[in-house]
Amino acid sequence: MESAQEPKNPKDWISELEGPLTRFAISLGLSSHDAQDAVQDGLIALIRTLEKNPDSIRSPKAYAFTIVRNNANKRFRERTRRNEVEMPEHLPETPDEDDIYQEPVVKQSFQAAYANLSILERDLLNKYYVEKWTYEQIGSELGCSAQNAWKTIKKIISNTLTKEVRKTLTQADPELASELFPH
Amino acid sequence: MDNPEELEIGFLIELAITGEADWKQYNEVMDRVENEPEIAELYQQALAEHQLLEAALPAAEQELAQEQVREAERLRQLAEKQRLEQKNDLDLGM
Repeated sequence: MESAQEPKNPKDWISELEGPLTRFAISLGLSSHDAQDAVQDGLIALIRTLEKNPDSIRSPKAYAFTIVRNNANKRFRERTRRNEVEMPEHLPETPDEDDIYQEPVVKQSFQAAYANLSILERDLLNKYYVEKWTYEQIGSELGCSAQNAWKTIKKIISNTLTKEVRKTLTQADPELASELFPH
Repeated sequence: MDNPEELEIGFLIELAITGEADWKQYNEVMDRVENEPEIAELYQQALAEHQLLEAALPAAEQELAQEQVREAERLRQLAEKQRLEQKNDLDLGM
């Protein structure tokens, strides 16, 4: 998937990733100042991990994006809770997914739907969302392209998880269901 | 998300969210997110879904593992109860 060779020196990742990560953090709704802070923290975390335990990172670029996404969301939520910023108009505000998952009805319906997945389906979801495998890596394990790996995972999510959670939620809490599933 | 163009941008958005996209793909997604409201909405939905699954999957997996342990314990207790009942029946000469 990479068009150029990856940097060999951990510190070279800074020049490689700083620009795209900042743009990414801004796309999450942060001010440019907060975005720079989130990126800086993310790059420091990446370099520390690359220097101390390089084998623990499957893809440095994906790792940095995940850290920055988490940092950016944390900063943004802290500021919105203090009413210091509002979500930009072109980016519709999404509910806080951690809070949503703490809703008992969401948690229970998600767990029931998850338990009904096959071992293979659960394994694929865990590889992607928890172990941070890339679609390229999942595709090569499944013997298909990265895009087909994405389609397979997307299908598991929409055909089973989303459908079941939506069905249970629509019965139990229609308002929350329409907030979570606007379409 | 059935037409090829939506499939293509849906895939690119997912790659951009996780950092798996190359720079050309990444810039294409960000340009469209910044300039096209419907793509911005798709991007936000994909981001919310991704984060929800990242938060929910470990907990669901843990709950499933605990449920399997509870089920194994229930079966073990049931088997033990049946064994004791059979033993009692034998002791009573039934």
